[in-house]
Amino acid sequence: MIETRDLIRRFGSVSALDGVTLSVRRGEWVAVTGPSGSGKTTLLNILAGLDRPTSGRVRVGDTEVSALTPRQLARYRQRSVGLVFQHFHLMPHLTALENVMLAQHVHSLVDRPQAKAALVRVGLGPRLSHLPRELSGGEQQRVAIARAMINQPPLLLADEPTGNLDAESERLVIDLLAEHHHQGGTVVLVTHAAALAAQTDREIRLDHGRLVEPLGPRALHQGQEVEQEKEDEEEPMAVGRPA
Amino acid sequence: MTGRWIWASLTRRSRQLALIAAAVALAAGTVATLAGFAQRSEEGLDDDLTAFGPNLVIRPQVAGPATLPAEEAARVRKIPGVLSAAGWIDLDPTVADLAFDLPAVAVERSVLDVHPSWKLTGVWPGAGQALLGAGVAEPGAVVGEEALEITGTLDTGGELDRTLFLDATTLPVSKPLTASTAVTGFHRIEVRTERGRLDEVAAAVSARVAGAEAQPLRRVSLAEAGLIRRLTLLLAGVSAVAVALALISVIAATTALMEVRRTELGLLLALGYTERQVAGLFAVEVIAAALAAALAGAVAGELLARGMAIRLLGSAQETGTSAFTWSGPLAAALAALLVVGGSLFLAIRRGGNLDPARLLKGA
Repeated sequence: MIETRDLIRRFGSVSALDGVTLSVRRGEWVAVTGPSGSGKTTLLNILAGLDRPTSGRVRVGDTEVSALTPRQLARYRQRSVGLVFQHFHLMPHLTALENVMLAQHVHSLVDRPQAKAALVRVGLGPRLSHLPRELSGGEQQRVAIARAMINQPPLLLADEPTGNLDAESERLVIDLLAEHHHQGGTVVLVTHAAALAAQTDREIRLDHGRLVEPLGPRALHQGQEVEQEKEDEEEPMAVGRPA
Repeated sequence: MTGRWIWASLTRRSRQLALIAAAVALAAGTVATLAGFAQRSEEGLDDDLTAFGPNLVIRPQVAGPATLPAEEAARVRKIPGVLSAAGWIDLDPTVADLAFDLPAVAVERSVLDVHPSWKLTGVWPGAGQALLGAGVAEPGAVVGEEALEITGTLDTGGELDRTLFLDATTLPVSKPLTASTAVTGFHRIEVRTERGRLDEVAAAVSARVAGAEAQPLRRVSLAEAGLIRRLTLLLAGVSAVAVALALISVIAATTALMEVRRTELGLLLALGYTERQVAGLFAVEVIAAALAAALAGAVAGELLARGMAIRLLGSAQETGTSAFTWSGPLAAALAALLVVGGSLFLAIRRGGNLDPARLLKGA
């Protein structure tokens, strides 16, 4: 599903990523961990098509992301990626329902019943017409998750999705991500929270822009993953919401 | 969804767009006011001059026997754009045997239409009758050795107030005043034209009246033109300052708006919009706010211009001040276009190469 080769991202003289090579299988739930400044968010941004590597290759499904033009990158973000941010990033002047419909609009066509159903699914049925400022942090993040998943992207990327939430909201958000994963979605999660990382299939640990050997018994050897990826490539690519 | 976005942005985030709208409304309103007032001033001055009297004089190109140019005057009256025309004959001003030492003219009655400001008291004279200028009028005066009956007075408000007026159409059949009242061999037709048609009428005269030369009253016209030019320059200068200030305000407001909403711009890019789509959406939103503001500014400016014109130039009825002018709204539209277009161009250019990762960072 995801494959990076010798990924380097420099900001001036600072290397945010320094030769990262990794792979993630389709349907896998992976946690990217590491101390602040280790390059987690940079990696996520590159996978999302929000940023470009200084050098190296990024492949997501059949798409060579690192070779896309800006227009193709925009289309890649529309079709292939769902994004969840630590700070939610909801449109402040749109209601919860409209925020979800906005993602539909960018993707293709607005489907109000489907958007409503997505919000009901994350437990926000009574909050459809509320503006973000009228919602709690946990509720806002659930709107963001509904928005990220509304177009059924093959890849869900979440950057510290529970970083600003209380324990109860954190549990709800984790449950939603887990549910997406159990339905076959590929999830890459950037987190500081060891408890959250422990619930994922695998942990990828970064330090100073380099991959370090992950801790714990869930570690898999990279070689095995690549082989698995080759097998996966024989299978048809998971597709998102029809345009 | 785009419409919903814009509506939501306008209604739920009005504070952020209010500054842009206010600047655009101010620019549009100022320019509309000044343009509308300038046009009405021009109309008012034109009307004032037209109301004052003739603005065209037709004279024979060659001297000849003095006859009343009645036929020519009749032809002139049929020229489109002519409000009124009157034939004149200047009589010998040294009529020795008159009781008053007065210059005398023989004019057609339509001279009262040519000179709307003149005031006739009494009745228009017939054969053997005359009007006295208001400056020399005495009740029951008898003029001349063989009396001319004075039927009234004519107040011209000028040097003609010391003039004897005879009816030109009855002059040939009236009894000559004396042998020395022979006409001077000098006649003319005075014409008052519709607003703005002076040159057109002057050109038509040469085609309709053979051997005549039409002379617009250039002295007045040039004075009028000079006054209007100075007024227009002044108003244009004030308008330019207003537009420049509005441009600076809107640029600042647009840039600030982009800065405040950088996260939104980043999110739109993250959701899959291209930079061009994001810029377009932002532009449509600003334009929607500016459009309403420009419309309000144009209407307010037009009303203000009308009010100023009535207050400063006299009532609309008196001056013929237009109820509505296109120059105000047109100027407002151009000002709004300039202000919004210029500021959006600069803001989008500055915000070009939008980097979603940077825009979303650290919100």
